Amino acid sequence: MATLATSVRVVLGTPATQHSNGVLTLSIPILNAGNVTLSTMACTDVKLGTAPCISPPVFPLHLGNVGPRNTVIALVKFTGVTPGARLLLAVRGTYLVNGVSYGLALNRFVTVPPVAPPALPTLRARVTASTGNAVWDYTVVNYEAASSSQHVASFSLQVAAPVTVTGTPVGWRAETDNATYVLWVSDDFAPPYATHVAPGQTLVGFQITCPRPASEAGPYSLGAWNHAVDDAGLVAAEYTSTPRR
Amino acid sequence: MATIKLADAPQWAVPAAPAERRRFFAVGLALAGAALFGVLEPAQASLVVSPTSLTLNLTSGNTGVVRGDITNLTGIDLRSGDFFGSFSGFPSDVLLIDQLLGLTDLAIDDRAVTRGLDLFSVQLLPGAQAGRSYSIEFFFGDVHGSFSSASTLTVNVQGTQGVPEPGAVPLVGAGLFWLAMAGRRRVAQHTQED
Repeated sequence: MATLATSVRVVLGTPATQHSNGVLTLSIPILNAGNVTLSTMACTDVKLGTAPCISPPVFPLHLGNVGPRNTVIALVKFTGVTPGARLLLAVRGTYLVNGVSYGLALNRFVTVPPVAPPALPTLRARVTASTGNAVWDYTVVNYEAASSSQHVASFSLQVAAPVTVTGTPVGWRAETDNATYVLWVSDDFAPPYATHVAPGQTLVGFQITCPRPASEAGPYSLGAWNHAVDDAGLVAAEYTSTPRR
Repeated sequence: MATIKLADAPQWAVPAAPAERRRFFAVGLALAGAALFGVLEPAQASLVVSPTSLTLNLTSGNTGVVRGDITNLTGIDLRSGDFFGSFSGFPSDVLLIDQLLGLTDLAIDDRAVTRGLDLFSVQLLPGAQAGRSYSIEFFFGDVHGSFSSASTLTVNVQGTQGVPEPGAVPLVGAGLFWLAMAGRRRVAQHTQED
């Protein structure tokens, strides 16, 4: 029988919410209110009523070690929610104590806030991933308005497994330490920046491989170059599928 | 589900005699000092969750519901969306836990008890081994900052180990029949030889 010799007490705090562009973003604080460190905490599933979860696109979402009185944040996005609706947020996960894995189920009711413009302007771009045979293929999609001057010029991916970059689009180059990050950047450093991903366009050809075939959620960011002012532009940050640690 | 209003708590009587009053005051001062310097933990568990049973007997693949009573001593009237349950210490590949409390309309006024509430459900996944027991540590809280004491639920997996598969019964029967027939034939041969 699995029993705990120490006191484990974990609380799901009140999530910060933002409801814009049809997407409800929840910043979920998970507090270790006990007296023992919870190692290798991972979120394995998040549900908000029956609303579809669009981010992270894959689980687990690794949250790291959480010491006593410490908090970690899980960023989760849902669609198809109605303002004013009261929905049960249910977070499932795992953690290790003394090398033994235990389950975690945390809950909190969330009232969907009214739709409002985002507090900070963010780049309207995303990465989609397809995986198979220990290969991860990424596509960068820029869905800014056609009139926008925000062109995607960099794609940074955080990984936690041994990886090899096996694909880089023409006109871009890759930097990596083969263990913690991969950074693809456009090789264009002068106008007209022909290899940047323009609004409405997509770019394929970003690929990594890993000896481990399983996936987990990993953070990425896309950086834009503002062609109107010839300076750094907006940033989009999200989760995508990466090799499992 | 039934809600009962609690009677008002008895008022503390101040000792009448001056000596007792001084002692009462000194004890009060000592307690306040201890609390100020962190010797005492702050008062907790003004939300009391009392499960009807802390044992659940389930067969693999089945779901059981844990019911119980809630006593609200928080000083605030509580509603459905105020409650949240936290569950830990269980094997995640064997047990699936879903909070039920608050999914239906609920109102527990301050100093009231509501009985027979569905608190949460436990589903036993196919990986559970018959005859084993698993434990779940849990507590409930409300959004105003009150928490119940932690409790441990024991889930016993029903079913017996080593039960022969139905297909084995006719096989054993056929074997016994063959042995009986072979013995009978041997006896008949011995009889003919004699």
